[in-house]
Amino acid sequence: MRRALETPKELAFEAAKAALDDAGLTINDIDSVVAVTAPDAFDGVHMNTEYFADGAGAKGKPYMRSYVGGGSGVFGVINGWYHVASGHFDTCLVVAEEKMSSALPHPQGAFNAIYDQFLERPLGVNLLWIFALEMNRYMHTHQVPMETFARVAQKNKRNGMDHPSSQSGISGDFTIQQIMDSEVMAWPVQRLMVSPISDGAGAMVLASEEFVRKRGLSPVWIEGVGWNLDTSYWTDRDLYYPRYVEKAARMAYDMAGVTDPRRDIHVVEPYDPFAYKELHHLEGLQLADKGQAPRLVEEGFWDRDTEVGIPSTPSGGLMGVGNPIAAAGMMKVTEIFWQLQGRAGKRQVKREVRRGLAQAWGDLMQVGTVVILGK
Amino acid sequence: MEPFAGTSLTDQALTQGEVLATQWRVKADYAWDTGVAVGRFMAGLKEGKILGVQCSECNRTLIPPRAFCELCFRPINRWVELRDTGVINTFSVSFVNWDATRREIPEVPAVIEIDAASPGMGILHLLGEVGDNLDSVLAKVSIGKKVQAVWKPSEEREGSITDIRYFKLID
Amino acid sequence: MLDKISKSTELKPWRGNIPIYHRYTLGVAGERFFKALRDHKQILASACPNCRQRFIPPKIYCEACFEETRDWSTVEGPGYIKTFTVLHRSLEEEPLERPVVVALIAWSGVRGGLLHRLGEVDPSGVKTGLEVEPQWAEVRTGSMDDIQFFRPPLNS
Repeated sequence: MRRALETPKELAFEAAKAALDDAGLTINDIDSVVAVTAPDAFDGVHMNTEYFADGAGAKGKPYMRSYVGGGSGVFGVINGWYHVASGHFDTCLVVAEEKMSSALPHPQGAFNAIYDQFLERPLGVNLLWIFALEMNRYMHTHQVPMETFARVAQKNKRNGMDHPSSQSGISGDFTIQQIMDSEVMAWPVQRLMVSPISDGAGAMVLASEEFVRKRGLSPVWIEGVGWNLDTSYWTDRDLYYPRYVEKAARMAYDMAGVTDPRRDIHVVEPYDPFAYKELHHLEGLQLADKGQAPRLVEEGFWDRDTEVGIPSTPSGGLMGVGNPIAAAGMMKVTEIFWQLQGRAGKRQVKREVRRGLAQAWGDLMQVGTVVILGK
Repeated sequence: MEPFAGTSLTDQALTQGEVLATQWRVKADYAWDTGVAVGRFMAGLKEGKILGVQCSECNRTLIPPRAFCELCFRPINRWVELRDTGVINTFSVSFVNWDATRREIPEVPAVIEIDAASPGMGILHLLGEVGDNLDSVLAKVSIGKKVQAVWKPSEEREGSITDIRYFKLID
Repeated sequence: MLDKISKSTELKPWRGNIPIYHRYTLGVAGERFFKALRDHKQILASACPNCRQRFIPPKIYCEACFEETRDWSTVEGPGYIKTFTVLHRSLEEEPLERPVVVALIAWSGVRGGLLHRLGEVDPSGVKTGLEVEPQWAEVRTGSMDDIQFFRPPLNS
């Protein structure tokens, strides 16, 4: 939602309760809780996850927060996975929440605090700069035309029209020309190639194989997890390629036994706060060679109805549904869950899917978090 | 799928008092010590010099300066004076202020690879004298072009990254 | 690199802040609670349909059963002081002209309570268990200040 009436606690409850109901479980079945948000400064509540923990079902339970900025939504699922995989808990409820409409005059006031306070903030920074600088480096290196990025935005905004949480005014059937003509914010970043400010929450129940068998549930399985952090000296890195996403993906592929991602991954939800980011991340995920993700856009390889390609962001993603940061990462994992269960409705991809991947990204353009789900 | 739970509010609902809201401003100001490496770098700027550091293990010449090499994980003790010229690694033309208000005359932030540092080592700064609208900036500026620092006069320098007003194109 | 700085004048702290403020919606439960204060001078509690526990401040869920609450109702009779503190200094640590008593006020059979100021009471006479009632503000806007303070019942 653009602006939710619900408090962070209430948003968390709605999501957590929906996840429990969907799994046919009650709070008494939950052994542990993981809660995630991006910086507390957005919601304006210090120790935000502790504040909303009762709405996440954590009262009287082992509870843990995990946090890697924008990568937190997927990182929470990774954290929940090792709660269960360690053998310590049968179940873990993972809840992600973000209420960005609270931050005035604009959440950028908080975002900007990620820049170095001595060397960067005195220059009058804003968050868009860092994305614009990275996008320019990427499009320069591979000579990508702006139309290609507009096509990614068009795809995600169309896909988002079918999502039950789509924020009004964000999804829609935009022409390439409309997107290309949208306001230049920080060139090369334009208004319709950026995700909005949003409020929301998402949740997922993780359970051990034994619990699933005993209760006769129909799950999808977490086959691989990976995460990686690059240096925060971002001006020393070549921004055209996210090495940290590659490392996170390789870690997850190794665990899942995926030797050929382009054959073995059938649907993907890369983090897409900006149109270029989707392509950037698809390359980091090894689903396209460096510089080839844009060319595949033109072939429809990433489209929801592709029969030979890998559908990318069938949910609509951050650009087509909204970007309540940590909750948006969780939304990507839940989309893969629904796609594998064949329950995505109008968003269901055409090709057969047995394994999918969700990825998020964050901190100072330096963290990649990856989860692979399989049937 | 049915739409999920949640109550979306309009701007009007909030500003016209249809729904209740409270406001809060955090009373928090910060005073950061620059630390050892950045402190010395700032002192160099005051003298009109761009300083870097060198790791004795991997021999990389690094900027921004730091007290340790994050690759070799060793302390760094060697300082070197770099040039005040460099190459545009990437740039943007920004029409947005930090509070999301629009600006008429764009700012041109850039990552500048500083000459005499190891390849790819850069800092964030602004480009100047490059035009005051998108077309004029894009006509002049491109990745790979050479730039040089434009310093404030020495009596105005205070040991800050803004002692360099901006970088301008050379050649 | 780790040189010792001997002259404090060489130290230059870099100042800054995070230039944001926040607007919080009171939420689904908060709307109902605060509008009842404002419009009806009523203090509402919500109840869990499963365990029947009542909550104040009211919430839309029971955190124990994780069920949506229904059955909203006003709390009956005076509240009582569950715990309290007497403040002698302001937030900025300036001495206060008159001590301020802050108390957690609860109602029997209802979980939770309201944090508020006490008024019309001698700080030295405040005890845990003391019964208190709201002193309603003339102008009410839908906030905790719609109750000016709590005080012992006038007829006691």
